[in-house]
Amino acid sequence: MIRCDELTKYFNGTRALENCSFEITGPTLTGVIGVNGAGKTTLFKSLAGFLKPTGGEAFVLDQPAFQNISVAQNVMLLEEGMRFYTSAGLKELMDSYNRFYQNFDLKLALGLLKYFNLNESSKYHSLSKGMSSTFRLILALSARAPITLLDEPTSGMDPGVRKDLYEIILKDYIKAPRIILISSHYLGEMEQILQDILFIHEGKVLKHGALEEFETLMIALQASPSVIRPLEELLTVYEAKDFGEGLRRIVVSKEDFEALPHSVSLKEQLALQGISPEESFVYLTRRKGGGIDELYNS
Amino acid sequence: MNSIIHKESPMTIAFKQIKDKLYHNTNSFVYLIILHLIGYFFSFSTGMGFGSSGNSFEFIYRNFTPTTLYVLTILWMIMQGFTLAEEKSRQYYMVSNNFTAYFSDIAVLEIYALIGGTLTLFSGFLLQVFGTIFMENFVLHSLYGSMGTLNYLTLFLTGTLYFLIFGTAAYLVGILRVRYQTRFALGALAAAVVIILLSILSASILQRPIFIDVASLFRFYLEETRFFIWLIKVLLTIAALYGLSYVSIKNMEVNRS
Repeated sequence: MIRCDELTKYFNGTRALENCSFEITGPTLTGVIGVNGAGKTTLFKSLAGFLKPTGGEAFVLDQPAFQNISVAQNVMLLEEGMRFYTSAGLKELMDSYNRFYQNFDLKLALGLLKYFNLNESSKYHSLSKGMSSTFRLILALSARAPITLLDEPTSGMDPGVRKDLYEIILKDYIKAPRIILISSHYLGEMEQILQDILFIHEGKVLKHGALEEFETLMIALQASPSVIRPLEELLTVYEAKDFGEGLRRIVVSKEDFEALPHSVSLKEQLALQGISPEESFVYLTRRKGGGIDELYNS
Repeated sequence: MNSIIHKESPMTIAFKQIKDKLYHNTNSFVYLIILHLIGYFFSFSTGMGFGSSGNSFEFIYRNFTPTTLYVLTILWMIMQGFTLAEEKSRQYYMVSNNFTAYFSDIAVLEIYALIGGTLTLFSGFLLQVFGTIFMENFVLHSLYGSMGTLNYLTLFLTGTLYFLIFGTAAYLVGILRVRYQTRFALGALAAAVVIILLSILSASILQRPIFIDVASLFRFYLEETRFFIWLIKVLLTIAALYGLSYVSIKNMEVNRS
């Protein structure tokens, strides 16, 4: 259904995506995770057919996505910058989307509008930031497009509403299974609903897999510095911290750690601690060198 | 997968877009009506004469020409051309590609031109109605009274086609501006500088300045007395503008930022 082959996109010489490859073949709720500027929005716009790849190709429904009308009628892209007719009320905008998206569920849309206390006759531009995000999400979910791309769907929303909306996304997905891609900086608040994660960093796909794979991505090792120091020389350390004189903690890749030949005594001396996908994501995308500590201690 | 995959033809989508654009742009027609009312006001002012007849004044509308209405409708068409070209980003979120966007934009411009032409056609009658309501002893210019069906048809055809030319030209400029953004402004500035420099060089070296005679461009259409030749000229101009607009919008990326 969705396939990116070495997808590369540059904007006036600035890289947004570089040899980005992945494939999603069936209905899934996939989280697209990456820091600001990782290339999430560019990826979504390429899949929606807005942007022409500089290299490689983005395929949707086995067809190149760029300016393809067959793709456009089966893809719904939600993003913060999307525009609407300024003179139209929310109901009129829904009617327009209903005309274009064949699967659009107007009853659901009106129900959600009522649930979130949005007035049918209000103008989109008169809504607050959080309310306009809610309205966009109502449209995107009600469109029931086979491929639904939600770029930062909860930006500007209160935490309570965010939780509510993630629940609605999950319910909607269960009711109408389809490919839903949700991008966010914060994995923590949506990992409850995700099946897969597409992890993008500096325009490249770092990892694409089931959420469980991310739960076992990294591990924290804790022991006395004399036990930890030799390991630091053998492994890539994502974070190291001393807890007083006698305790040191390092975060390493679980796969790398397990590949090391361990003696039984070493294992007994180490305290192992799991790292959540959210934390793993922070460690993997952290700026290398010139950390905050270095800045303040110089 | 519960979500059904749909495949409607580009033309079906384009027709939906035409309806949608007309529905959401009803304000444009309000602007046109306001502009025409302003046009009528100026037509009255320019052609109004008065004299005393007993105790009452007599208003005679002597010299009505639809020029003011033409100019205002052309301005309105230019405005619509720019609007359609530059405020189109929203339609790509709602099923579109460049072809359907172009096709529906051109169709909407044609509908606008037809409406502009029709309003201009009825300007004489409307003027008479307004004159009768607001003035005593209102008389429309005899020239208007002697117009036959063919004259009205010519007025309608010339109006509609000229409006379409201006609207499409504005649309083309708008598309180029959207597509090339700052490069368009820089290109236009560079072209102006080159023309001025060439003119200066030509005047100083060849002792023969280059004139860009805009008036001759208008004369090319306005002074053509043979109807079919005029029609061919106008239709070819429109076709060229359509073609250039399509080439400009083809493969255009949208909503980059």
